[in-house]
Amino acid sequence: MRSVFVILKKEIFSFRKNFIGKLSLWFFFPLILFAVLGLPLYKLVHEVNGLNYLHWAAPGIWMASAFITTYITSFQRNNYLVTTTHVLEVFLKAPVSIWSLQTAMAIWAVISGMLQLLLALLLIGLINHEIYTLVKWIEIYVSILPIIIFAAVLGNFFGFWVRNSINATYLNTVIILLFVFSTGIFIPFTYFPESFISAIQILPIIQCINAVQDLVIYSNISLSGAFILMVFTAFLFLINGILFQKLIRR
Amino acid sequence: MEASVTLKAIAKIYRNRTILADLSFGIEKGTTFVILGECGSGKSTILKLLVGIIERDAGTAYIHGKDISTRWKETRTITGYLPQRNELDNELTVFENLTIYGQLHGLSARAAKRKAVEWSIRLGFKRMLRQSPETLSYGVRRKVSFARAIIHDPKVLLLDEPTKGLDPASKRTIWKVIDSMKGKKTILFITQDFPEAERYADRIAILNHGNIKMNGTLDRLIETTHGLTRYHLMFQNAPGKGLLEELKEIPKVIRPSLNGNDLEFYSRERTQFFKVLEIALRYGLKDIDTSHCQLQDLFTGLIEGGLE
Repeated sequence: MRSVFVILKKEIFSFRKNFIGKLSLWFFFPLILFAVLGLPLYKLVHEVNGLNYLHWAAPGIWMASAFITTYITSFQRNNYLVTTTHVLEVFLKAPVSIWSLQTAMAIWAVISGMLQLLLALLLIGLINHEIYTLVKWIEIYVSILPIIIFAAVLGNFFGFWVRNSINATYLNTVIILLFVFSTGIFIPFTYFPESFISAIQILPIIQCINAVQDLVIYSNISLSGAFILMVFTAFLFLINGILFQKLIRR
Repeated sequence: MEASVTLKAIAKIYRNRTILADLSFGIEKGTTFVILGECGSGKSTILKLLVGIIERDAGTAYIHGKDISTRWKETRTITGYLPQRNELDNELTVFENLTIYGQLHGLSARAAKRKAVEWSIRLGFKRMLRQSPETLSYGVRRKVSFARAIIHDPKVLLLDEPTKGLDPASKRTIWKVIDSMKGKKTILFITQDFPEAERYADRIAILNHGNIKMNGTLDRLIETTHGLTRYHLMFQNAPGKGLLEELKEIPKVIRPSLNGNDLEFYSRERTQFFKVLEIALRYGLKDIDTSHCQLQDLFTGLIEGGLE
């Protein structure tokens, strides 16, 4: 556990080096999503289930900005370990387990995602004139947290194994496009073909996203999707650790 | 004496190439051991394997009696490793590189900071502590890497060409530190510098094709040459291949080699040398130099063959 804290400390030192740039990105990111996706789509959609589109899309902006920031942070930090300066050897020769390393990297990405979510909640709330109670904030955080953790572990996985920069760029673009445009966070499912909806709605992440939308719009709390997503995330974490353990010391 | 590092029947195959084959040797506690070998002979692989960067395919290895596979946490805590390449993190300052590494090896934050300052003073890079490693010269980065390898006061030091590419003053600084640790720590180092090996190592091992060909003290290794002498003859003009043809007729003239105006060969018997001298005079001999067989001669003979 101590080594996890030391690795986190290292990540904070690295972050500190250009924190103004990163914080600026985190600040503008939800605003850009609002401007380039929310506003143009509002012209087309207007309302979803009787709700103003901009209010309906707000959880989508929170989730997209938190997911993308967490995923990219996790991907970049893990990729940096294995490709940029061979710093991975520093951890391999230290009395640090692969699990501690993987956990620390995921925790750092989750922290980044949570900070991004905080900024997104504040900024989009201000724009939409939405004020939530503390309890609501906690509920929102708890229901989005599984998505953030999933993004961190997914970034861990691909960051370790996709080392070619062109492949990485394609992969990350596809993942972001899929999350933004096929999960029903910006484009309501009513605009998708029936067969696509029935196929995609069995995915735990979609159930989790739906639960967040239900929580904000109808105040319904459902944690079954979050639970399944957490199980899947734990499985992915395990697979990554085992593969890493087996292949990295070749 | 108690064993500090033990390797038993270690094998490592990488991309269908045997790097280490049935390698076994031991190092006593508190001694300095050097491994010599050609590039690609598997020297660095041994160190990487001991510290856990790579896994072996067969065999067992122990550090201070603990299996490096099952008790890796303990063995890595007491081991300091300086790789051939300076793998400092450019996202961190020199100071952070040192303190984070120290803490990963069990030092408290306060102790790591104190040690980082101490070593930076001793190795002469205190002014650069707040800089990023990428802004430093190779020599300073090497010193920082060295400081990082020893910051947690390890019992076993694994050094992969510690002074490669350094200026004489920096080399002296690093060797002074290593010298001060002699007898207190087990030091295993790799070098291509024969005078360094002769000067600092208690025992020397010569590695070839993934296995130890020779292992012992310098005197013991030289003894195995049974009084072999190296002769160096210099001519006024290049003597041509005819000289070599004539030398081949003389028995016990070992490894004659012609390089421009210079001829080198080995022999155990003076009488053979006189015969060579007689021939050489006909080819315009200018000067002669003789020396007893050194570590470098022994190494070349073992690697290239011909001194057996």
